[in-house]
Amino acid sequence: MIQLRNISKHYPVGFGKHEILKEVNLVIHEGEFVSIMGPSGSGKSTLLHILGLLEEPSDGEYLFQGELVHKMNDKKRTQLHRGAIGFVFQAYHLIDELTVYENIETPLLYKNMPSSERKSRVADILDRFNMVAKKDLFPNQLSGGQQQLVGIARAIVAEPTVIFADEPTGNLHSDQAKSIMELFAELNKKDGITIVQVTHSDLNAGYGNKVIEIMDGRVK
Amino acid sequence: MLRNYFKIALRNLWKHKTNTFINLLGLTVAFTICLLLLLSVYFEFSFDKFHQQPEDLYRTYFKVQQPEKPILQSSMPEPMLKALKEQFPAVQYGTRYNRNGCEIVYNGKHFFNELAFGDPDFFTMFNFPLEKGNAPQALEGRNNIVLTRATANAIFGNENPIGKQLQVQSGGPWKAFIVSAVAAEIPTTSSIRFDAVVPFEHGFTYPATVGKWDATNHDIILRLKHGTDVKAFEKAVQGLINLQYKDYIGDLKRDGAVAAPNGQYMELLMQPYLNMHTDSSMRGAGETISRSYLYMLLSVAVFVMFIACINFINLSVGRSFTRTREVGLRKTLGALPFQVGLQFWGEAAIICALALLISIPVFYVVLPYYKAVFGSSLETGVLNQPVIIASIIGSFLLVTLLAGGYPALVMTRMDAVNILKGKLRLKTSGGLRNGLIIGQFAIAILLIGCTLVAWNQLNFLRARPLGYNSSQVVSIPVGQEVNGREALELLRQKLNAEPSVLSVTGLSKNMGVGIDGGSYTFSLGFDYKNRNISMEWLNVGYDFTQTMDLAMASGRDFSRNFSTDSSGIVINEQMARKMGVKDPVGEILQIEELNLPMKVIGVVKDFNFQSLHRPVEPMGLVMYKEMPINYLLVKVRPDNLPVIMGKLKTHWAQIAPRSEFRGSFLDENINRQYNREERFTQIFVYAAVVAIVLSCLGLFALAVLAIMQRTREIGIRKALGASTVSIVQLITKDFVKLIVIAMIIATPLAWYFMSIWLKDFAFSVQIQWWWLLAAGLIALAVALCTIGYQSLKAAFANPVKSLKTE
Repeated sequence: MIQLRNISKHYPVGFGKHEILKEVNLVIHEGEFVSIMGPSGSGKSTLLHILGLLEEPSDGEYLFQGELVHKMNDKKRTQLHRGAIGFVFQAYHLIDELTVYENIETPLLYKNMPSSERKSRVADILDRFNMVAKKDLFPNQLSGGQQQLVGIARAIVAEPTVIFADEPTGNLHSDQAKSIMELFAELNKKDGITIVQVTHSDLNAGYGNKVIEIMDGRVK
Repeated sequence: MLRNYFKIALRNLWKHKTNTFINLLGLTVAFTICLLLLLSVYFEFSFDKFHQQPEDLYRTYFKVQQPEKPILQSSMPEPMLKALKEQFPAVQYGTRYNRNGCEIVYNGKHFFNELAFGDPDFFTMFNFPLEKGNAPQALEGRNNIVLTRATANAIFGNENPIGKQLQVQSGGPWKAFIVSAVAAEIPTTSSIRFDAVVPFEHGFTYPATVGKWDATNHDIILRLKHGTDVKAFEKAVQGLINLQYKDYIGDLKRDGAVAAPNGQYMELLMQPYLNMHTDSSMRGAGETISRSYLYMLLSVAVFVMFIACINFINLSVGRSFTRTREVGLRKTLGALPFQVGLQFWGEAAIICALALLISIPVFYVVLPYYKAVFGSSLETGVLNQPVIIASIIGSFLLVTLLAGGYPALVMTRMDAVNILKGKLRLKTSGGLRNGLIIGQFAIAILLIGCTLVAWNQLNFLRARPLGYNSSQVVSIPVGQEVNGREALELLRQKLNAEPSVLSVTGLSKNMGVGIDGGSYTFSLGFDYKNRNISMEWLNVGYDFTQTMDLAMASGRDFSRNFSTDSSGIVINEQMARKMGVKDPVGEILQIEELNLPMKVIGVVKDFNFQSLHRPVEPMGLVMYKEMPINYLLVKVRPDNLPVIMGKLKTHWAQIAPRSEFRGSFLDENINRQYNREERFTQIFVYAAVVAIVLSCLGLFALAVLAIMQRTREIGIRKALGASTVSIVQLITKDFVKLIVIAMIIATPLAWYFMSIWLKDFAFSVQIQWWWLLAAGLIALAVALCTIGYQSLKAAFANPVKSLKTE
C-alpha cells in the first residue's frame, strides 16, 4: 500500500543543508498497525508528514496505493485527503468554533456528501464512541481524552484506508492514553484500517504489529 | 457547506465582539457617509438630464481676451439670438432667458413669484410639459403668461385659469397678461426655475437694449440640430462676432490684449447645457455648484470608505494568526484553497451586508440634518433609481472583495504543515499593515490640517475690517411692491424724528448677502485717455458715506445743495490710481455707452464693497436715475438694537404692507457671504472627526492584538525586571513611528491643497507651519490615548499569569 524508495529530506541551512531523512526505504502493507519510534529530532514527524502527503520529499520515490505521489497534482492529493487519508494530531486540532457534531461532519462536507447520508454517518460514529450526549458541546467544554476521541472520530468518519497519528496520546495521561490506543487497535482489527502512528512509548508501540525505529534520519 | 461557513462566521463574529463592533461601526459610518455624499454628487450631476436629447442643448458664452486675463461671460446682447437663428441653419430652436421677482394681482389678491422671460421656442425645446394649453403657441401672443401648476392653484384655486387676465409688475409698470397655458411642476434637477413665464420683450430693461450689441443682460440657450459638429459651428459663428464687435476687438488690441491660440480676440462658444450646473466659472441661468466641490465630496467619501476598509483588513489579517490552525486543519481535511478563500470572503461579506443594512435606515435619519448643514437639495427618491441600486450593489461587492479578499488570500497561501507544526511565526504581514496605518493617519492628518487652515481663513475673513461700519447699519431689501426711491423718501420722513436712528440712505446692491439672497451688480467699461477702464457703479442715496462711516480722501460727497450731482460721481482710490491722474476731482469721464459725461466730485477711501474673494476694484458712487435703489440702509445707535429692529419693522409695514420685512444687520450679511466657505470648513471638520475616530478604532483593535501576541514576551521582560515605562514604550514605539511618517507625508499635501484653496481669495491668511504641526500632534495625541490604556494594562499585568497561559 505504501512504499518509500530512497526517500530523503533536507532543508538548506546557510551554504550547506540540514538532512532530516536519509535514504529511507519502507513498505507498509494494508491492514498493518505501524509505530514509528525514535528520539526527538530523529525525523519521525517529518516521515509521517511525507507519508500523509503534507510534505514533499527532497529525493526518492513514494508510491501511495501504487501511484507515484510526486506525479500527483494538487487536486488528486486533495482527493486523497478527503477520502483515503485520515489524520489524528497530538494537539487534537479541533475547530474551536464548531460543536462536536459539526467537527466530525466537516470532512464529509468537503466530500460533498448528501445531507441525509452525512447525518447517519455522524450519528453512527457518535453512537460507537458513546458521545451522543456530547454532540452539541464545543471542544473547550471537553476533557483532553474526549477531544482526542472527537479527533479520531473525525479522522475515521470519511472511512479512510489509512490513519496517520502524530503522538496521539502525547497530551493525555495514561488512563486516557490506554483507551485511545485500544480504540486504534480495534479500528485496525475490526475495520481493517491501516494505522501509522508516531510515538515515544514502548507501551503504545505494543498495540501495533510492526515498529519502525528511526535514528538520525535513517531507519534501523 | 455554506451553512457550515455561515455558522462559523457568525460564531466568530460573536466571539470577537470588539473586533466585530469596530468593523461594524466603521463600515456602517462609512456606508452612510458614502451614501450621502455619492448620492449628493449623483444628484448634482443629474441636473437638466430630464430634457429630451439634452446633449443637443447649449448655452452660448463669450470668451474675451482682456488685457489682464481672458474672461468668460454668458450674458448676451438682445440681437444675438435673432442673428444666430437667421444665419445658421444648425440652430433648431433657441430662447433668451432671464428671471426676476414679480408681483401678480388677481381679483384684488397679491402674489409674489419668480418670473422667467423667454421666447416662443421655450416650451418646444425644453421638456417642461404643459398640462393645459399647447407648447408652440404658449408664448406666441405678446401678452401671454404661462403659470406652473402650483402658481395657478394658488391664484385660481379650482377655477380654470386658461384665458383669465392677470396684472403683473416686475421692476416696471403694471401690465395685463392672459394665461395661455399651465405647466407641470418643474423637476428639482432643473437649472431653469420659474413660477411663471412671459415673452422676453416684457423684461424691464428690454426697450433700452433692443438692437444693441454692446448691452448684455440675458442667457441664450440653443438646441442645435442632432449631429451638429459644435466646433465647426463655433468656427462658423466667428464671422458674425468679428463683424459685430469690430470696434471692441480694435479696442482690445489697442489696450494690449493677447490673442487666443487660434488668433481670435473674442469668441462665441457653446457650453453643453448639461455641464452648466456644475460649472461655476460663469454666472447666469440657474444655481451652480463647483465641480471641484463635488470632487472633494467624492474624495471624502472614498477616504472614509478607505479608512473603514483598512480597519477591516488590518483586523482580519491581524487576527488570522489565531485562525491559522483552523485553516491548516481544513486543508488536511481536504479543503481546496478557493474553498478556504470563499469562507473568509464570506465572513467579510456578512459584516459588510450587515453594515449596509444598518446604514440605510441611518441614512434616512441623518438626511434632514445633512441637508440642513450642507445646503443640499438631495431627495430620497434618488435611492430608488436602478442606476443607484446597481452601483450600490457593485460598490458593495468591490468593498467586500477589497476588505475580505486580501485576508482570504493571506489565509489560503499559508502552508498547512507549518501551521499545524506550530512553526509558522505569522508576522501579521507587517509591511502592508504598517503601510495601511500610515495611509489612514495621513488622511486623518491631512483633513485635520485642512480644517485648521480653513477655519483660520474663515475667522480672518470675518474679523477683517472692511473699511465701513457693518455693526450699526441695517439693510432692508426693497422688494417688488414699492419703488426704491419712493420708499427711501418715505422711510426718511418716518425716521426723522426717531432719536435712535442716525441716518438713512439707499443703495443699488446689498453689502454681503441678505436674507433675500439677492444681488445686483452694474459694471461698465469706457475709454479714458485712450485706455479702456472698467469699473463698478453703486447707485446710492444722499448720506451714503455718512451712513457707512466712509472717509473722503479728497473732494466732497453728494450734497442736496448741488443740483448737478445727478451727473456727478464719487470714485474710490483704486479708480483714481487706475486713472493715473494726480488730482482726479473735476475730471470728466465720458461714458459713451450711456451717452453721459460724469464729473468726478470726490474720492472716497477704499472699502471692500465686494466679498474678500476679490481685491478692492475700481468703483464709483453715482446718483443715476436709470439705476434702481434696491436696498435701504439705516444707521442706528448701538444700544437696544432689538427695539430699533422692531420699530423699523412697523414702519416698513406701513410703507409696503404686503411685503415681508427682511432687514438684517450688515455684519450678518457679511457672514452670510462666506456660507460656502463655512460649509467647506464644516465638511472638513466632519470628515476629519470621522477619519480620526475610525482610524483610532482600528488602531485600538490592533494594539489589543499586538499585546495579545506579545503577552509572553511582555511576561518574560517583566520577569527579567523591565519597568512599566519601558513596556509601554515597547508597545507604543512602533505605532508612534507610523504616525510620525504619516505626518511627514500629510503635512506638505495639506499645505499644497490649502494654498490652492486660498488662491481663491484676494485676502487670505498665511499658512503657519505650526497649524499643520498641530494637526499631526492632535492625531498623535488621540492615537496615544487610544493605545495608552491598553499598553498600561499589559504593563501592569502579573507576568506569572501571562507566562502560565502560554
